[in-house]
Amino acid sequence: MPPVVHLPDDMQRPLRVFDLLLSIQTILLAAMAYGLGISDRPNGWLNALLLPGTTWYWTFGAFFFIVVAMLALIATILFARRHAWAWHIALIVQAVLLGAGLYIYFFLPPVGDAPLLVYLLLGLAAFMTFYLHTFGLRLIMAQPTKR
Amino acid sequence: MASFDIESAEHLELLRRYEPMLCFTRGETFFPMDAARYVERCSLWLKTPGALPTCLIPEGNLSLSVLGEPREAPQGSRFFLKFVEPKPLATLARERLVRTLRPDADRFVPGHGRLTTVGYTARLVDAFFSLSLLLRGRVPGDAADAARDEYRAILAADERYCYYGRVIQQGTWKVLQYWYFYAYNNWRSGFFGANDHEADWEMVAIYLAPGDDDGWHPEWIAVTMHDAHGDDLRRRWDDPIVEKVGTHPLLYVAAGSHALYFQKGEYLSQIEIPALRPLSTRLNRLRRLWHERLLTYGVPLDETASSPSTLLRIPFIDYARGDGITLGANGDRPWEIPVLIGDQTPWVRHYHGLWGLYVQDPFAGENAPAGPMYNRDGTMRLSWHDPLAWAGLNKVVPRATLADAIQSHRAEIQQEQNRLRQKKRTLEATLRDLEIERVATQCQPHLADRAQHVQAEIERITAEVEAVRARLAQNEQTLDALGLYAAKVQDAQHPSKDTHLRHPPQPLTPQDIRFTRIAELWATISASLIFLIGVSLFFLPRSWWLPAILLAMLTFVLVESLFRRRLTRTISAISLALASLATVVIVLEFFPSIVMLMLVAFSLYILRQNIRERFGV
Repeated sequence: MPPVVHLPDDMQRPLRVFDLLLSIQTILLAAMAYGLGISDRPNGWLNALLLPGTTWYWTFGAFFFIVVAMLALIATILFARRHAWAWHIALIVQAVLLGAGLYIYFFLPPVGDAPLLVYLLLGLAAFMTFYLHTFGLRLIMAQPTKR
Repeated sequence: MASFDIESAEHLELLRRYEPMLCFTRGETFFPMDAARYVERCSLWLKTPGALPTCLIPEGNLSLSVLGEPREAPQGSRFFLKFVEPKPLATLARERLVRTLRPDADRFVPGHGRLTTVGYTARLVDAFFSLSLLLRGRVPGDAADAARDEYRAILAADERYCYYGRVIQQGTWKVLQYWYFYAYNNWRSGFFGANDHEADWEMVAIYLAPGDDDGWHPEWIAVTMHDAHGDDLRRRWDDPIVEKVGTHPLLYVAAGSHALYFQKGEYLSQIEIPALRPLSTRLNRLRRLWHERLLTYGVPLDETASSPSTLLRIPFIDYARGDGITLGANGDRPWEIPVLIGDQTPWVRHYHGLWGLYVQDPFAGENAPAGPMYNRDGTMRLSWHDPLAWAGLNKVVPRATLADAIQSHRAEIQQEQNRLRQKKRTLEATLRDLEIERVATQCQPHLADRAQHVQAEIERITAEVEAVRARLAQNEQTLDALGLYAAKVQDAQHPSKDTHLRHPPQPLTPQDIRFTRIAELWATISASLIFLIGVSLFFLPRSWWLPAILLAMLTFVLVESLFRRRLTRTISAISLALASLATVVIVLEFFPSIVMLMLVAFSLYILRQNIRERFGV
């Protein structure tokens, strides 16, 4: 099992923010997966996210968001338990989401534009990434003696 | 004459007492030899600008004394020696076939590929470097074979291993220089290295200082090695890294290049392409910013981060394994009695040319070196002209006189303290007078100008007093530190043996060299694979090119980082890059909305602060 890191009290606040952000992200991703999965009840809110007219994209999208949501859930649980692995998994989640969002923006028609949801997803993932780098790595990866 | 002989005998005695033992790598072909016998088999040539080289003295008529005759030539000319003629193609092919079918038992066995130790950029730069050998001047491939045969013939006639000794006194140091001459450097053709050239000069310097018993004692040793200069070239004599047999240091010679190292092992030597230097400098700055300012990995800089970037350097391995023969007093073969050389030795002083073939290589790596006194361009070698500065020893005090030097420095600082105290007293007296004047004039409107001047003077002198006070305090602390250092020196406690080292070449560790066969295979094929993927793009629709390139790059980066155990760092860097790009996209798409949101947030913050201040909540 990965080591449990014991952190000083003054480091607890940024970690609570992590817990909150990851929880929000997990719920959001699960909701998106659910919305995309119900193909017989087209949802205008999510419909704009993917190419119209092809259910294949809907199924793939739902599967993608289920996987990412599960990863985010695992990261949230590990963060709550203060495991060093939480940082790795959370970062992978952000990298995957950023990659997917930028792919939609740059390569799917209309190129150079995307539905509002994609921008929301990108913004949250970018913020999480910077936050993880600013606090997470210093808090979790660095040994207490090096801080 | 008699005193000269006595001095020479003393120098010889010192040289022999500390002469290094050289351990070679199995498969080494060339060993330190008598330069006279090499020169006798050479011809002397002159290359003038815009003309073909002309032979001045043919083979058989040349000797060290002839070589040492002063010569004149037009500006831009280059004198050079030519040791071997290329072999006929049929002979060469026959010999290669024989060697392949019946390999020599003492042949060199390459280790783990040099390309496994570096990244893609270096591999690609290396590929272009190899191609550049076709365009720029280089020593013909068969020259190494011919030189080997010639050298073996010399050795068969009379097996001798020699070095040239030079003893000079510089300041309070006595420097013993051991110059080793090799007939050929076959690093590229024999050991997958950077270059081949005829002739090779390498050097070891031992720095002696006077001891308490009026004798000379070794304190430092410096050697010519790749990828190091100044302080990194030398080690303290009593450093455990410097192995010794009796009074003889044991040094390891790199195969083919003949660079010298203190520890046996394989060394990653990296050559910088001059044209890529500006780009490399910028990348290094960016890298330092990344690590130091942004603390990307959350921890302070480690050794790898503080060392120069290897991104745009060509990697080569110096194999200094020490598993071949050892030359020296207690080795497999002894040294001959050394030949003393100095500033007045004619062939050292007057021959400014190259000691082997001049192939007009713009990078100079394939051109032969000049003699012990000169660089390739005819300027004087720092190691000859100023051996202390070469090894960074011109700032170091010998141990026996260190205590006196510390006391002397303390006395200087004490004197400065006295001067500063006196100055402070004078300034403060002036300050008091000015303050009296300021109070007296402050309520006299007709003396407004004077009051202003006095106020300005008070401010200026106050600042000056503050500077003097800071200097006094700093000097006091320095005196304390010097006192502690002096006490340590008195107790024969010296600072750590390696505090002077910054980036000393270190043998590669098993972690540096990737042991798994898959990693080696990947390192071998990856550079070629990148080019092949580039070609395969032509078979895809144009709209797929960019995603395909990005996907290929991502795959390569992830696979490589997996082998290097840097997957976390790589993912972290990729996520940061993606997040930065996403931020740019969002800012560009929603700039007016973002500005509005920020203004609203700012106004709400100010409102909150003002309400708190007004109502005390």
